[in-house]
Amino acid sequence: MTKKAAFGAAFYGLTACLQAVILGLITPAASADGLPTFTPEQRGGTLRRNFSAEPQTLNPLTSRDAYASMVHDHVFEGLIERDLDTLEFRGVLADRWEVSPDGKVITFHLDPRAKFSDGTPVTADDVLFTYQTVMNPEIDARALASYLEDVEACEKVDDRTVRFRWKKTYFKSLEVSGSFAAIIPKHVYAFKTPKDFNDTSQLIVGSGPYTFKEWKTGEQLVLVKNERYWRYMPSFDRIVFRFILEDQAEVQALLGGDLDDLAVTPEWWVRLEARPDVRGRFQMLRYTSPGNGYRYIAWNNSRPLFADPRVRRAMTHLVWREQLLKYLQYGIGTVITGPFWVKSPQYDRTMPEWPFDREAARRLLKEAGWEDRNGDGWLENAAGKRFEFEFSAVAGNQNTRDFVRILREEFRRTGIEMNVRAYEWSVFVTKLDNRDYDAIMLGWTGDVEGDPYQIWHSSQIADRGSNHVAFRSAEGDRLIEQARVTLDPAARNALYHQLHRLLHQEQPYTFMWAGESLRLMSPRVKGVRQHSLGLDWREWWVGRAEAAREEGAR
Amino acid sequence: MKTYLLKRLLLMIPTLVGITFVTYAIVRLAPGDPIEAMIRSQTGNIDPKVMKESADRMRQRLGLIEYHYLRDAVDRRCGPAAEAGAGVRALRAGAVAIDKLYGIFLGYGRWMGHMARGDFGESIKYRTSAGSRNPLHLIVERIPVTATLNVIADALIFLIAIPVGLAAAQYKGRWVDWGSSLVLLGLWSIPVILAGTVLLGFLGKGGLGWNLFPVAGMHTPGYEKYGLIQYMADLLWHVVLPVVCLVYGGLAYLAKMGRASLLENLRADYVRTARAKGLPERRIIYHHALRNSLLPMITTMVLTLPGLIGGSIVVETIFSIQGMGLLYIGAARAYDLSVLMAETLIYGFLVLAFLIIGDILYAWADPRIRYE
Repeated sequence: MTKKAAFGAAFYGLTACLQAVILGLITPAASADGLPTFTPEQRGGTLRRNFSAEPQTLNPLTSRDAYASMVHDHVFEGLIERDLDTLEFRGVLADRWEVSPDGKVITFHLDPRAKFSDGTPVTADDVLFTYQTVMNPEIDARALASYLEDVEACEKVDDRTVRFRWKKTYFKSLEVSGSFAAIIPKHVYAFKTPKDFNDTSQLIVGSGPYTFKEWKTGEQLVLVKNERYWRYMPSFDRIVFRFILEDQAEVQALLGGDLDDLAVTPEWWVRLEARPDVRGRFQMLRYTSPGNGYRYIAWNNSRPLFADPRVRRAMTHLVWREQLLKYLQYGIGTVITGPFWVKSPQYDRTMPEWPFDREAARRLLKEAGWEDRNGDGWLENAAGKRFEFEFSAVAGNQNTRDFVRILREEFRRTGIEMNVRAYEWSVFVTKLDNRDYDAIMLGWTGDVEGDPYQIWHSSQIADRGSNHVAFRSAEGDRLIEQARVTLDPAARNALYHQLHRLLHQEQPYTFMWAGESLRLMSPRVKGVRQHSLGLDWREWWVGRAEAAREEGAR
Repeated sequence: MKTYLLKRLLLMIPTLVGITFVTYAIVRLAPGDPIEAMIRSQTGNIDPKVMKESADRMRQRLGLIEYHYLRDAVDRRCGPAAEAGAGVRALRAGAVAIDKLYGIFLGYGRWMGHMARGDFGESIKYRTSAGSRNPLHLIVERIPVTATLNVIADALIFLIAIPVGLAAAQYKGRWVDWGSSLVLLGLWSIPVILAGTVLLGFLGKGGLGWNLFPVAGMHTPGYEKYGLIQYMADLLWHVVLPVVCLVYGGLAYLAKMGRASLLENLRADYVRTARAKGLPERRIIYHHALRNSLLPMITTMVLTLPGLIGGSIVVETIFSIQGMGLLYIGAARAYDLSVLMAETLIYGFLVLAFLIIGDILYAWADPRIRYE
């Protein structure tokens, strides 16, 4: 389980799930100026968190799982980050930056105070080294490098100034240049052969507030305070990640006082909410963030059956999303109409949902030529072919099984036969790549500000791109391309609203719902606040008294 | 005896080759593309070009190179697959299959070559606390964890099951017999996953019952500073629940075996003779019958020894214990071939070796047995 873990848990507990692009390793968090001022009484102690699997590597550039990026979040810093409330960019290692009017040249000025945990200052050479390492084809960071494909050059202007030059205008050029990766110290990571770098799994030296202490397999991973930290220091002396693998054990560890912070599944959330001893004592937080992503049913547009938008819309009319959400997800989530993050200005909140409506579905299907012509209860077309398709599911998941059963029953009432087949994940992915399916259900994780190019542009149909549903629309391509070069947010979002409307009309997917983050936190952690983008651990504290209790227990 | 042993030892070689080859072939023949599925499950949505590059690089590193000689030859002769007729398509499918077999044999041969030089390769998923990715180091790091649990569990199984079984045989048909049968078979039929979850929920910290035992791992964090006694106490406290899970299901088998074995001996001629010459029942059972009925237990006991390093996937998952079971299943899921092969080889070797040792011990304990 990785990034997809939180995702899978939030949805169907799929062992694996596709995700959309998440830019940068560093998750956005509030800057020093937003943080509360800790008194000496509030400082000290340990924040105890959990990983339900061990990271494969802690390498700052080649690691790919969410656990490693959680560790990196404490140890490394990027050039800029997003404010958790305003969603605007703020400086981290860069204290200011300039963007040329066409968005193609971005100049970052590094904060003169910035230094790594070994005391060496952060310079333009380190940024350049990080960029070049990511771009090195021999380094296992190809996924990161693919975001930088349109960067023409990254140059050192002087010791404290770096410039990114882009080949073309792109509205995400500032975000990508400023947060493509954690900035790593050249003098520590310089390598002779790329293999040396790829094999580096435990060396993590960065400019962030914590440094790596130990990683004991099967036990815990410990970070300690960076005594030389150059910015505002968070309150904890140590951050500990335990490795508790099973969700019941995880929850009990939190309730029993061995963990401070835990993400739980909707099932556990409902169960714990019903227990007065838990609800009254522990902090239960529920919020949406782009990382929760959304769930969809894809109707393969290249199959003759689903080539007609009327048929796809009829299918959506037959999926009772409110009820499914209620019964399968305990109502945790929001029904959606389009692909963007619900809270972002890209999402058109005025779009009315297609309601659950059997009559409307029958009408649309009849218009498209599907009706019961011989009175056998199943729909046929003019050629006498029955409306029948296969729903490919990922094997071994109870929640999916329940979902599919409900869906099949509903379709049968309207005369549509849905056959279900379950596939192992690796087979499933191959089917997806070869576009060898009629209908599937999957999820994407999102971004604060997404670029629909990868999933919806027609160029991404061929060569196993992410447009696996084969959505092809000249209008859609035009909107996507134009939005990419529109730097004015209002004008760009207007284009995205048009795209949203187009997708809504065409229904290449039945957009199901966006998930929610569910967090259970120990009462001893104070200062927990909810922001638009979620929680920020840098605001939390347990205080000196708790720290003394921890010492006593040890 | 000597020739017999030599024969058995030599037979081990083809057996081990067979075991490892089958393992290798199964992993290689897994449907779908596990490498790409793995890359995607870690990275999410990824550029197809990048995907191909990463997948090729990983195949290189794992020695999982695919060959397409015959397929390409067919394509060259008969044009691209898309426009081909049924005959060519069949020919092409045959070519792909042969290419695949060729790749498997070549890959396996390469693995044997590395083995001959003592090179176990490296894990793509796992590392030891010291950072090593050598499968051998990984296994050595986990053996103490798994062995600690299994030594305690197996000792308890023998100490409980054999006396119970013998008592059942001695009092055949009385309440001890059917009572123990009922209880042990009942325990045997409870799935470990259920027992583990219930124990965790009622006896574990933070659960619904008594906060008696820790819920995860083998040690309290920070145990390095403990003295020996405190360390042992902490360890025992942590292993209570997992050991219970490992023990309860194993009792029935051994108890039944002990019972059957003693009953068989009690019906034997020498026991009748002993009774006829007026020996007290006590002496008949404990001195004559019991000693003979323990003989089959030797094989059973020896055969459990390699099992000491074979972990339990369910128990290790429920109690978050990084033992051999989790290593094996994790490696299988991640397509971590070097680890899978190392584990298969070592475990296969141990099982075969202990089979031979069991036979030797049996002959030593029972003079009636001769190997030729």
